Amino acid sequence: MTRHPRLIKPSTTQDVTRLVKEAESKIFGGGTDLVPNRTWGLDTSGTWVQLGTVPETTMISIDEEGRWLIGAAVTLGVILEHPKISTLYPLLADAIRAVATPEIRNQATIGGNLCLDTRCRFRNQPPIWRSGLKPCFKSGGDHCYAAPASSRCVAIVSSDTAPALIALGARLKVQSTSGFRWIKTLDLYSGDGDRHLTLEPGEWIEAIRLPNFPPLGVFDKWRMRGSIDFPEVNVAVSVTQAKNSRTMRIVLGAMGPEPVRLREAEKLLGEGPWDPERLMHAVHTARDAVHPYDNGQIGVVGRKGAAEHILYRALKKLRIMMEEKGENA
Amino acid sequence: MSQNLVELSVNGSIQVMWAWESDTLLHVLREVLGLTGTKNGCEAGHCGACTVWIDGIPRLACLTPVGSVVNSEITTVEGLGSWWQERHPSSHYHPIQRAFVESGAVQCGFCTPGMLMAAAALLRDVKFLTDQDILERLAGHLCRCTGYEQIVQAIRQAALTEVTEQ
Repeated sequence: MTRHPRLIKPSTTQDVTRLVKEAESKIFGGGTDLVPNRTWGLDTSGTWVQLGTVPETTMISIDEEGRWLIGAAVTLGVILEHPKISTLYPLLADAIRAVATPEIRNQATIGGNLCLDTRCRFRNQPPIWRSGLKPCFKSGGDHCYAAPASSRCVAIVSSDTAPALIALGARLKVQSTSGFRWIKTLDLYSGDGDRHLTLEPGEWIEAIRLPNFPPLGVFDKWRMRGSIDFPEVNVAVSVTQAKNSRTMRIVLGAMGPEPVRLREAEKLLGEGPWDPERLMHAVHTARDAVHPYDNGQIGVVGRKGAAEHILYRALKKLRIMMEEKGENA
Repeated sequence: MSQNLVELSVNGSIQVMWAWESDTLLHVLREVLGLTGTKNGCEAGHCGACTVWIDGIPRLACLTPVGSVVNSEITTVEGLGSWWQERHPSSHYHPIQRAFVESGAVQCGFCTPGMLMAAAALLRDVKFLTDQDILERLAGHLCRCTGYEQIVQAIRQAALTEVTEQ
């Protein structure tokens, strides 16, 4: 039987914090993830707290230090149409364009995309299909069908904007009863597919802060249906050149319950010239750094191969962009 | 918990009904208001058959709780012709509707309402269309009969009609 959660429209951040602290309540951004999950019986929350009525969450603004702030309830379509954001942060714009379809981008919010519920092909199925299996970790059981030896859920974080925001070095403004704090985007994810966010009850994301001087970056994505699909794997790479140093951020997403930074590859490419050998060596470090399970649409070998393929493609594109800017790759 | 009195503005007229606020707009349009032009395809946002305009923006009715759009103007495929006629009194069909018929872009017709709403918004927003614009805008629309070529052709034709008429 379909559940009918309450839909509450608070008008202040304090009201949101109070409502989110209640048991069984969830933030409602655009509903593009929550509503189908409710329809399939995957979301059983009793209250949806709609963010779109809180002014702080619906604005794109600049703080006193000149950094762009995007409210969590700003839709992906609005960000793409913004006269400055797409130009200043092409890495973010590319990631947003890779999300779903124009209709869904007109509705889905950036906060919602970051907090997208994890997906697994053993769980994201119609109720009658799921009734043939005992509940898994995420459904309240004690078993994982994708990784039977695992002691926790390995469902996939399918956000496209998360790797891009991590590569950009964006910060998230987390509101709670004790005020607000800023966290790194990567720190939002716990690594457990069941409770995949590190947010405590009563905590919620109000806005995303982008850096003043964005690094040069590239986003790429591998999916089964080119026009609309969740990623089998996605990648965001960015580079900041200083006089005698180079800082890299390489992030693979949709490989498991959290996006993964490839620290070894970052170190390799940060240290020396990007000759073909070093590039390939950096790409191959992904083999040991990510461990996907058989819970996507293609198998483990396919996803690892796709990860290396799009990482190489993104790095080559980044190298061309650096050369065009007159920077040594 | 019980149903609420929900007031919606659909195709220019105010409709008041009892509904759960978390009911989808698609359910309310079809099952409560009887506007069955908007189709129920996948109920998961994959097919685009339920595309309607919410405050002029094409969105998916199957992903929209009705409580979240109570202050918005909703236009369904039934209201597309009237919307056009308000701006162009000579015709009560949108050029895209005529172009779909003339180009043979309708086979079983299930995807057509969604395609029409997406294409009409595209024609309204972009003055000089390229094929790339059309393909990108139709990315979320599945045609089970796979008649995509005629659909793209119809949108090209409607774009020309619109340009000629203005």
